[in-house]
Amino acid sequence: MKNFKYIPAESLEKASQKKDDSVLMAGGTDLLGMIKDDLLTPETVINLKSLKELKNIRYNAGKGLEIGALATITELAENSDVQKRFPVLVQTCKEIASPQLRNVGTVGGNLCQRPRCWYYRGEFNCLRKGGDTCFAVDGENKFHCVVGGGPCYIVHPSDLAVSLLALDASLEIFSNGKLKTVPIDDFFILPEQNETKENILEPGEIVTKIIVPEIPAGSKCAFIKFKERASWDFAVVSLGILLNTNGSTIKNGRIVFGGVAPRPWIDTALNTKLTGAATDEKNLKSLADSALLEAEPMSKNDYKIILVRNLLKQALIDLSKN
Amino acid sequence: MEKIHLQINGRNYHLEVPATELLVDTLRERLGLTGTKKGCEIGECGACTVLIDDKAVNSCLILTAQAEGKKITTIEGVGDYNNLHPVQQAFLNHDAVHCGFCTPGMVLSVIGLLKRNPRPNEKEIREAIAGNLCRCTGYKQIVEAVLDVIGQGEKNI
Amino acid sequence: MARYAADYSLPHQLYGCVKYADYPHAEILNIDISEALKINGVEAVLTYKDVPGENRFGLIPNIRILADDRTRYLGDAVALIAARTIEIAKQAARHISIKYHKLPDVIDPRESLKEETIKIHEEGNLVVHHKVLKGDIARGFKQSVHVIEQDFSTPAIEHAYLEPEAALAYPDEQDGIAVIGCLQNIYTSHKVIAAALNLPLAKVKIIQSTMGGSFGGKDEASTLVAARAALLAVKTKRPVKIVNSREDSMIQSYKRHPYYLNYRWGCDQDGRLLAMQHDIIADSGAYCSMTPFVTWRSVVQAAGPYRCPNVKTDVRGVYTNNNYTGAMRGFGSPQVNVAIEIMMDKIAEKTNKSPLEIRLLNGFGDGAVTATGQKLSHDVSLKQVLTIAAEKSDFENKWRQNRSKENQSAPVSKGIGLSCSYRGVSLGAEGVDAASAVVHVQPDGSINVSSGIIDMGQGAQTALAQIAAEVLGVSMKRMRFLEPDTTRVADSGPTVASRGTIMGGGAVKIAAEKVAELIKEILAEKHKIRKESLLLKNEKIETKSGKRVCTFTDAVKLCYAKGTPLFANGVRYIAETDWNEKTGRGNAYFTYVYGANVAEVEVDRETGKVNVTRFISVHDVGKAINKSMVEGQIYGGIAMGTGYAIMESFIQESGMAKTINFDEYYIPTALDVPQMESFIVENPDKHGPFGAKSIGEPALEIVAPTIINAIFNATGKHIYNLPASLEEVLLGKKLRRDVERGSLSCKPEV
Repeated sequence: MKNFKYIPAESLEKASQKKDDSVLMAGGTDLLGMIKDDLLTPETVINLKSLKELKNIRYNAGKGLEIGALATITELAENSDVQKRFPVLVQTCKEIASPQLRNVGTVGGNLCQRPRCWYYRGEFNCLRKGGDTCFAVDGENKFHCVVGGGPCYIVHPSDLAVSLLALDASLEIFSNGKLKTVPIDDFFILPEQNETKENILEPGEIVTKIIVPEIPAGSKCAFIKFKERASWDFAVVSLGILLNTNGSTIKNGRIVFGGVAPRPWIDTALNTKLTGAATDEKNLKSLADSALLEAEPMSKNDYKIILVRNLLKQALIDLSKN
Repeated sequence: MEKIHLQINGRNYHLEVPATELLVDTLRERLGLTGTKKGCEIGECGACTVLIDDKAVNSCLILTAQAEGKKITTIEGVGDYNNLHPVQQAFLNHDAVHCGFCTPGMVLSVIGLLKRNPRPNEKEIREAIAGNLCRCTGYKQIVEAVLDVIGQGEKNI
Repeated sequence: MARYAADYSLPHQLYGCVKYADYPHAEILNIDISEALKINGVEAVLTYKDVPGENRFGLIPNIRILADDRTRYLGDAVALIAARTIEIAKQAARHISIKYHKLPDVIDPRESLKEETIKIHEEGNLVVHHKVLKGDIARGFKQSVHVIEQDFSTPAIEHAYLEPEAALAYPDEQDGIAVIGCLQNIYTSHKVIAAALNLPLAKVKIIQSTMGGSFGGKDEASTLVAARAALLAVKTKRPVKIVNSREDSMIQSYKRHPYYLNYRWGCDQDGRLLAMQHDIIADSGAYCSMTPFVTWRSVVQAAGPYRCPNVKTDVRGVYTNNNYTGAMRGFGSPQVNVAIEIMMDKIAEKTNKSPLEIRLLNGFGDGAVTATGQKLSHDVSLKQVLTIAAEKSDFENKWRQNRSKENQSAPVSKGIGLSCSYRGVSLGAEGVDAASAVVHVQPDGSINVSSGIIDMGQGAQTALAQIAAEVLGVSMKRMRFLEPDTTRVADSGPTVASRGTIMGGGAVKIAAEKVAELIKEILAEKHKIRKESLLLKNEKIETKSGKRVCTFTDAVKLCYAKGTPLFANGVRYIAETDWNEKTGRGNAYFTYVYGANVAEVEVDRETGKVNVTRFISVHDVGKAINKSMVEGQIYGGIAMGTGYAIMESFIQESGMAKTINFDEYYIPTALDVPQMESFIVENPDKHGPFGAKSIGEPALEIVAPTIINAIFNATGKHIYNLPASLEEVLLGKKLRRDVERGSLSCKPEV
């Protein structure tokens, strides 16, 4: 590790006035890995954990859930309000990394973590690191994206991003001395917008809070993560679904895919078909088969499309049952 | 250099460490607590697991400075050869220690679990040690050892 | 507390690291270390020119401690650095500049032997070609009613011992050098290091630390780390510690050989085997570690435990620019067993038999003659273990139920699979099979046992101490196993081939018996009784008629008082093997073990996810010295074999390893392993201590095909290319690069 200075943050203001060669640290589980691999060489590491007010998890009936960005994954999963009212988030938390990492990793950090692409993490001067090649295009691309890629083909690694987008959450961001609220859908970006980052955060901006609206009465939610190994593994593909049905038709809903794109992915064409769709098995299957029609898989990842469609079909069938 | 205060295995330590120093290195290289192992240094194998405020964490992915003021338990604080912790004794009784390299981390993950949940079922045990890789045992004898400890009733975990 | 190599430190020690090759295959034209030497804190930078003695070692001595003429894989070390801190050492490595002449890479072992392929070593790209020939293969196929031919492939596998390699070398008194390391074979390491340093063996001391797993992997890979630390220590006259990171370990170390197998079997209409032809290519990677021996076991066992009059097997080991490959648990058997046991299920399918029926029909019985012409003279328990495995799992019923259309078209299909194997015990005709041990009863009655057999987690120490305790009639409380060092115990050969108990245990038994004799002699003289009438048991010495003579402790005191130190050395040597390399015939191993496994799986046909739900292992171990440890070996083997079957693959792209830590190289977690049951069968063998044979490798070697056969039972589809990863199960193919981008139709099936 290159030498750096370590400063516990005194206040949001001070932390946000950081210089370009400083980085902000929450749990540090991803950041330290990046620094160890020399992907980041900061002069200063500012630890946000000293900002205790960013750790709170609060539920207000009617308003929903507020998750401090510095709450750990374990704290979110063990919160009794979350367990009662947002079981889909508990389900998501249990799928993240390992128990040890969940005890340290934070919700905000989970949303802001960097991609796991082995070219990005390895000794390749790839696009995302400011180089001029995406090595996945002609390389080992089994775990890369099938949609939304170009010129870089990463997938976004966050599980919580997928569920939170399905739940239509918003992020509170400290920016230029003020707080602003941004729908999570607007937070994540594609490589075509900027291939060196995954979200809109500018230097000095800090995610402070995640606001999750109440789950509409009658709606059901699910998070499904498909991975090759039962623990630690990042998603091969994942689904976050919110679905409101009335017996034989879908009233409304939202489907989000993880592991298929450089950001949590909303297949717009698919989502617009949801309202009014019949919930018989045949129709749900054809609905699922219409997912990711615009996908352009790479040489080794076409299986992801089949995987998404099959998982989605089963999830829709399960959620449509009483 | 950072001035750090840690409480490790019940003893107070006032240390000066570089900002970049990882907790695992402070424990192993600075304090000679070599029971904490390094197996991957990226938080994947769990060999470096210690308890911070009774929660299992990977000491390879945390700066010593981040642990300021915290209570840390390493395997040296759990028990020793002549005075084994019930979890360690159960591991031995069940031949759950093969090469032994994963054992310290595994034992601490189990103790972290039992502090939160004194009567876990098999699934909960497996979930709790899913962050600790073992290449020797196939995990069966480890799980049996933990079930045995629980069966003995509440002890001082 | 156990101390592993990386746990040792000495005052003023330096830290060592390597400068890796920049290309998998290139001539080295010039190495410039001048910039690296200028860095403050750098104490030494060495290249091959600085090796005082032999830079090359190995069975075919072509493994380089430091790359000299060429780089041959990306794990080659071109230079060594010792510095005050590891950070400085690594910084220095970045300042070494090397001029290369790049050569074409040989990546696919199937291309390696082609005329136009560049030669990686002077002697060519063929490491070894073993053959077995029995009967008349052409006639066998002519007589056959059914002929089945199939290609298989198995991937490179990382040992993934949890402890990465480490060594601490330090200048010893009288100009000697000592090395503490985690070494599977300290005797080879001793010779290699002494030769490299150009020192007499007596001036080099190798000290074995507690070993954090090996599985066959800590032979040359660990020797290299120890030798490099020793070179740096001699140069700097300071202690030098090298601790591999996981990435270092995965990049440098050898793997289990990837195999490409072509199997062609013929049988009569009932499924009796009439012809078996096998053509196998094994990727030896850049160098020759154990390839000649690994492939030799493959050639001996390629036809499985099945009777067949006509057999022809060819196994070729070839060089490539991939990671070199060597010993790993199973040692050439896991690969062939995948092919053998899947072929057996295909024959069963063809002839309308169950997997159990076909194996009972063709399997070895007492007195069977193997493919190499060896008549089996021990208890051949193949059918016994098969029957037990089938009964305990209700195999036949479940197998039939799972074949229903209903099951095989359900979203989640159940499957059950069966496999069996035989395995030659110990080294066999591939090496001199001898092991030694020392038993030392201290004046106070406590007992030290040492053997050159290394404990790498398999419980060898306990098993060996138990054997001594049994012979001396004392409790385990007295026993303390001392890690061997090369100055204390004579060469025991390598702890490989599951020979720890049968060979090391045999040596301990002989040593303990010598000590028991000494005790009896002294007591017989004192009490004026015949020594033959004395027994050592229950911490006492008594006569056969049950009369107590004295306690063990008193007997020990008496011996020392009479000037008889209770110290003895035992050597176990077994020579009942022979082999003719030309004809491929002979008595390959002095005895064999038998095992049968059953796996139950659930295959999610819509995702390709395979869940191994239950696993039953039945093994004839001769005699279980310690039942719980035998079970531990079995469970560990099941877990490792499950990884081999469904998740593990060491991926290299043009010679570059892509899976160099546990975030990319998956091994099973506690949530990935099946429920496990083990059944131990005991047919004592005349060669083993108390009849014991072996278990370490048998426990692993048929797990993968058992699971693959279960997947077939669930889906009706065979898998021929390991691992049965989700895309293999889902799509029935490995995703390879020849597919163009966007080629899959994204339109839903109509």
